[in-house]
Amino acid sequence: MKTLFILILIYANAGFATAIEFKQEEKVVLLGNTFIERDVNFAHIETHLALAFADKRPTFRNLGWSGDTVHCDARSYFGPPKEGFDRLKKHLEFLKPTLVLMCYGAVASFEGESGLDPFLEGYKRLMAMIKSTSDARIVLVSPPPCETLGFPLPDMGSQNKRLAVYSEAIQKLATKEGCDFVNLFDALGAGKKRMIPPVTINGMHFSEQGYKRVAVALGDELKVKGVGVDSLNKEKLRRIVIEKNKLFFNRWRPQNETYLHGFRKHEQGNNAKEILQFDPLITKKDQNIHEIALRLSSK
Amino acid sequence: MKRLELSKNKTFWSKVIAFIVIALPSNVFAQRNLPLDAIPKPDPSEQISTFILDEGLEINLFASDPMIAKPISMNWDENGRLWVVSSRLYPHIKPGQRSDDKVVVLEDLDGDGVADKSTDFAKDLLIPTGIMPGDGGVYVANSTEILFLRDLDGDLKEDERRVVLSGFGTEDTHHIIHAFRGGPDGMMYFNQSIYIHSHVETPHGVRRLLAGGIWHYRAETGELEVFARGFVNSWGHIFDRYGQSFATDGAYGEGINYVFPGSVFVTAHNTKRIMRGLNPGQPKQCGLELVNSSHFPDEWQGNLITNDFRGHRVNRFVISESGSGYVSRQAPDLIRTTHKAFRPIDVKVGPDGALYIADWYNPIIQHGEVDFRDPRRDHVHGRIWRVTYKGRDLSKKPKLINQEVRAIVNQLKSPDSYTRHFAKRNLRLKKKSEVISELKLLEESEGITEEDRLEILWANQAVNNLAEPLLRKLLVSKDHRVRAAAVRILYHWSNRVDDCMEVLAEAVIDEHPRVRLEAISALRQVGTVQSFRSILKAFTKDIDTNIDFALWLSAREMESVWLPALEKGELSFGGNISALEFILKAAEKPAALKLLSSSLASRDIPSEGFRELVSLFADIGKAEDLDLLLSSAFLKERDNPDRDFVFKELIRANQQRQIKPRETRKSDLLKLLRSGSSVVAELCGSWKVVEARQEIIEWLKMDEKVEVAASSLSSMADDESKQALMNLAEDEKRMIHSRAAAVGALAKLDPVNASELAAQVLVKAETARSAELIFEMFLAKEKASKYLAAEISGKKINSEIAAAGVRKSLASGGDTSQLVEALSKAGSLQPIVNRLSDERMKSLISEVKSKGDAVRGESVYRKSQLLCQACHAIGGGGGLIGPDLVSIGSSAPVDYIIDSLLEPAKKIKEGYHTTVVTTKKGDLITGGLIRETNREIVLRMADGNERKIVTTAIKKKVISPISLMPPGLTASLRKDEFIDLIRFLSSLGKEGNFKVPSGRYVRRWRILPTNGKAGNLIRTKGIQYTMNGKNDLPWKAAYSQVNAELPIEEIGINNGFNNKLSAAKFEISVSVPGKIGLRIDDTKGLQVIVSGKMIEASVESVFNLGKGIHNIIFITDRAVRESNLKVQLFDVDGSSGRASLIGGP
Repeated sequence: MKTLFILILIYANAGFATAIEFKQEEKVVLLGNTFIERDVNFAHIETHLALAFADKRPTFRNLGWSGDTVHCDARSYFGPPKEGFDRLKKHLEFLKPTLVLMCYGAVASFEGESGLDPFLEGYKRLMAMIKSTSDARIVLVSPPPCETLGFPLPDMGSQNKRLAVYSEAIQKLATKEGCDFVNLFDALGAGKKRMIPPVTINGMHFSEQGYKRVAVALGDELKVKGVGVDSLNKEKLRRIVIEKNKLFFNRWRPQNETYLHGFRKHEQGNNAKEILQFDPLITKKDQNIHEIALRLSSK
Repeated sequence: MKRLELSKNKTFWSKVIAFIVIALPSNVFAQRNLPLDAIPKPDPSEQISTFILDEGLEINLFASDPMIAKPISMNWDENGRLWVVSSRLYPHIKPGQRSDDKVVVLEDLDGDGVADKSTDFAKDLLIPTGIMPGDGGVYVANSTEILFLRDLDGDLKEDERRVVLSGFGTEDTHHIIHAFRGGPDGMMYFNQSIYIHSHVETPHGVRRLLAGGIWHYRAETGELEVFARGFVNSWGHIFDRYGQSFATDGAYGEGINYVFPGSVFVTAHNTKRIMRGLNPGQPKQCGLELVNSSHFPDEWQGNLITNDFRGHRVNRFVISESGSGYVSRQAPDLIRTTHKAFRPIDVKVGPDGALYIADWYNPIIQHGEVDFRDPRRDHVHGRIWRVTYKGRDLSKKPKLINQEVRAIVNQLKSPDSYTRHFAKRNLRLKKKSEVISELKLLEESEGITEEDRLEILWANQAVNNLAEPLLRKLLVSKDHRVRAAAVRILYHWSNRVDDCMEVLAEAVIDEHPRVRLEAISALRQVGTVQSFRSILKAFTKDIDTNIDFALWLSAREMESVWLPALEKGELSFGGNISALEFILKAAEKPAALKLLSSSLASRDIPSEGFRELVSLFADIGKAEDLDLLLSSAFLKERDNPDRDFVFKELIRANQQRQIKPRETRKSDLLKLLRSGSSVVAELCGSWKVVEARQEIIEWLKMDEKVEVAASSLSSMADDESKQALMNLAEDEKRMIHSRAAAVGALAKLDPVNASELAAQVLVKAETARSAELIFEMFLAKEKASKYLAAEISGKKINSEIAAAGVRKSLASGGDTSQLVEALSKAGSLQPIVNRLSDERMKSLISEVKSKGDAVRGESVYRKSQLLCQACHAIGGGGGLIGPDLVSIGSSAPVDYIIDSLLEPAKKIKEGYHTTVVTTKKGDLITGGLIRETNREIVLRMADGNERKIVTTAIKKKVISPISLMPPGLTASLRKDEFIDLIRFLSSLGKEGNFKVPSGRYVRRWRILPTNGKAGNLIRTKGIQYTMNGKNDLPWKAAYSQVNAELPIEEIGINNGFNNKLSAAKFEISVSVPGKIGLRIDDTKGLQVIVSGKMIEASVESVFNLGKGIHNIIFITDRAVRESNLKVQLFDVDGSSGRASLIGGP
């Protein structure tokens, strides 16, 4: 009965930002392209959520990959995109997330209208794959807007128009698929008003300060209660989150993949056993993050 | 169980190894616990004493550990400081290890050529592989990212970090982005290697580069583009005085490569055609620098300096123009040494004009074949050496810091590229409007040369300004090099010049080929019908290799633009049919075939062009196109070899695409069949021409025809054919070889039922060749080997036959473990799983050192039964299946060489992995990947031949962990022979007698066997008649020794009436017609035939040769000649003639 109730609740809210609630020990996967990947270095999104839900002891794994699409183009190494798709599936099967925050569309939208249908088809397929690997809740996040920073950087006006179209389509898709949607595009001003100071370094990719804003905007959209923590302590926590992210990066996307798991593993594959030794180190960092986040948020 | 003996003699190897396991137990990967004595004593003074320098040079230590450890790459800044990235983590971070790799800044404060201060600018990096200071900070390659680090308070420590680009692949840490280089245009260029797949988002869209290539990036606009593609390890890139690019490669040995926009090189992703390097047969190189420094003498200016890091040498190349491109000649090495840890990997001219060389200092290089955790890897040492020229003043260090714009602009006239380069970089930090007006002033000042103007144009480009009036001036410069550089600006900025199309339409018919080449590239970038029309004008001028490539690339990349225009009749060729044919061929579109049919039927099309067309028709033609193809075979003028080529391609089309002509011209075919044509028999089988069946069945009775007949009947595959094959297979009166052929043919049809017969024949087989007919067929079919295994089990087979089967099985792509097991039992082979024990390896290594003889080892290497030369070249002459071994000794430790001979699959050089294709029909095809496009893949088979498979016929393609080199090749050697062979291999590339000499020596020969037809001809008709070019002579491959001599005994002796003549020849390719010189060490008893004329050889012979490939034939009179042949090509002073040697198998 309870399950049914939750289902109805989710369905009723589908396609719209909803108050998100974390379960105990929520396992969150962040998935997407450069926008997601670069939060590995900044960790603002993660730190924000880690503090808000400190009592739930959530863990975060960032599977963002620069240049990636819903077809998994960037994850494919030597093979066709399908190999990237299968690789992601394996990673998800390993991580068993309970919540997937996904943000695609920034790459595809450059193709404009002609790219929209394949994008939506691919997104559906990707979601179906995620559902086949776990019971994770899925939240679709629209790509953030671009900024026009002035010559010689390009005018991003037309790209923002395309992004608006994609965001709307993603929202509809979320409704249809019965999952949550965060309109980050609108929340960050839909490219209509100029941010001062700018939030991106090149009109497209967010600066550290930019990610700070993104984290707050995303949190607000999800109606996450912000936690008042002094900046010094928050920064300490963020540093540890970044360390954890780097460890995890070397775990799931190690260098020398050709030799570790790829077609030359018969030569150097013995070294792949080392990669597993990252796991306890990551777990330790997670515990560290939980302790600090709990201490800070309960102050 | 009896131990395996492959030869009658008790061989050493029979006691140690026989066969390599199928399922390798995990512990075989464990490192060998070898003594660490391989690391030389890390004392720099000891190291420097081993250096042998070129005349006139001096060397000193600029910086050493602990100031600097493991330098990977370096670049100077405008302040005269040297920025170095160093990594102790390479090749792979260990869990729990901090990523603490560094950017180190070295400063020579008192200008004495020795670094006084070392500062860690950044120290939390992960294997940083590229560095370039500039734009008020420093760009650093950091794994998947390019970082931009800034020091805000002047303490030389990073204060601010920004990721400027991300998404670069890291599939191999010696392939990740590297070779950062500031272009003359203000952009940053950088490279990635073969295993890297990069996906990078920019505000202009996503950019992807799969496999190797060169990128360029303009920081202020965020534009990132691919400049060239391919290369295995493109570890060096430099621009010459006129902005032309050259690159080196650390894995494919062709020396210097000329790189132009859009050019594609070896192992590029999805390409049909590639460009080649300028020095085939070179060792591999890392780093590249141009000498444009007033400190060095005139003859050094424009020379390229690079590092043979395997051979512990620093090389010098002299570049000269040749058509649109260049030729490159090797000059004496700057540095050579026997010091095992000297690994020069980067070289840059410093602010004082001296050459600075980064020495990675490591006895072990890379990590593809050597274990990540090999204890002999050095992680702490490193050197920067400084090379100066004796008795010459140093260059003047530029003053660029805190200078007025005018003072900086004036330094663009400096004779030192260092100064000009950093002046331009510095201007990027200044106020743009002021820079532009100062540049204008300089342009208008007295005494400005054309080179100065070019620098001014580039300085404008560097600040993102198009100086259009100056550009127009330089587009019509008298100097073609300047014109070409001006056209390059339009390649990048065509949209900024209104009448760009008119300008390029002129440039594309410029009198100089390089300007035309640049114009074609620029027009391709424009990408419109109009620009394509202009490209077509290039066909009215000479077309050399580079231009041919650029045209081909344009035709392919712009096809969606010109094909519709052509169909609508909007593209005119002005009667230039060859241009039309060229682009239609390049595009490879079925719609184009009709337009090409007249060429196919043409009577005077040259053979090479005809065959290209034939393959194109076979690849994409429909049935009606194949009608045309078949008819072309029956044209009266068609030579037999070309006709047979058509038939072979038709067979391939039917096999791979199940397509054949509508009209098969049976009566013509039957006529040819009755005259004994084997290929027609195959064709009739493939097309199931039943009228031919009876004739072919008759052929089964003839032992010399039986193989082709059996193969044809298996394609025919009807009941009568099968019955005929069955009869032969069971006929105990026939030779085993013939029966084996029948069994093989049956196996192709039905491996399950043929396996019983196969086992019966194998039990009786006595020669490996007969048995191979059977093994090959069972191994070429998915899963078929299992059935054979089942039938063999419990039977006894001759051990030699069984061993041959095991070797075949291990070098084939499928899962053959059951067959190997069955054969091992049937042949009583003892499968010895273990590799050499550490003890055994240690004692073997010490025996190689104490008893091995490299001279004897070379003759072991050259033994034909070992097949080394069939697959490997040394310095460019020899097979292409395996890697060139030119510097194997200086790059691989002895234990790895031994392991590689015993277990070839254990370590496989990148680029030489085996690809296994499973076709939709269940055929297994195993070979080395040569190239792959969306339409086809081409493999090099173990016999050296190429095999093309259309993509639509492929079910599965995998890169397999097997080596094309079968294990056990050395099993027949005595122990002393094996030790000598290892000694020889481990000497290759090291300083001494087994370093390939640097001249352009002939290494690939063809010799004429002295028995049989050729000998008869020579004896009866005389040498000149024999060599008149009309006789089909059985030339066979031979290769020079490492010292470039072809042993005279290998040429053989013809015992004529009054002479003892024999012949050897080689081929050269003349790129620019003119005088070509041959230098011959000893001319005694030697005559030369060139272009049909025979002359006495002289020490320096000069020939006037036209463009194309020429045979140079030597006739040796063995009655007087006893010395080896050693021949070298040289450029003739005052002649523009340029030629290169043809290498390969």
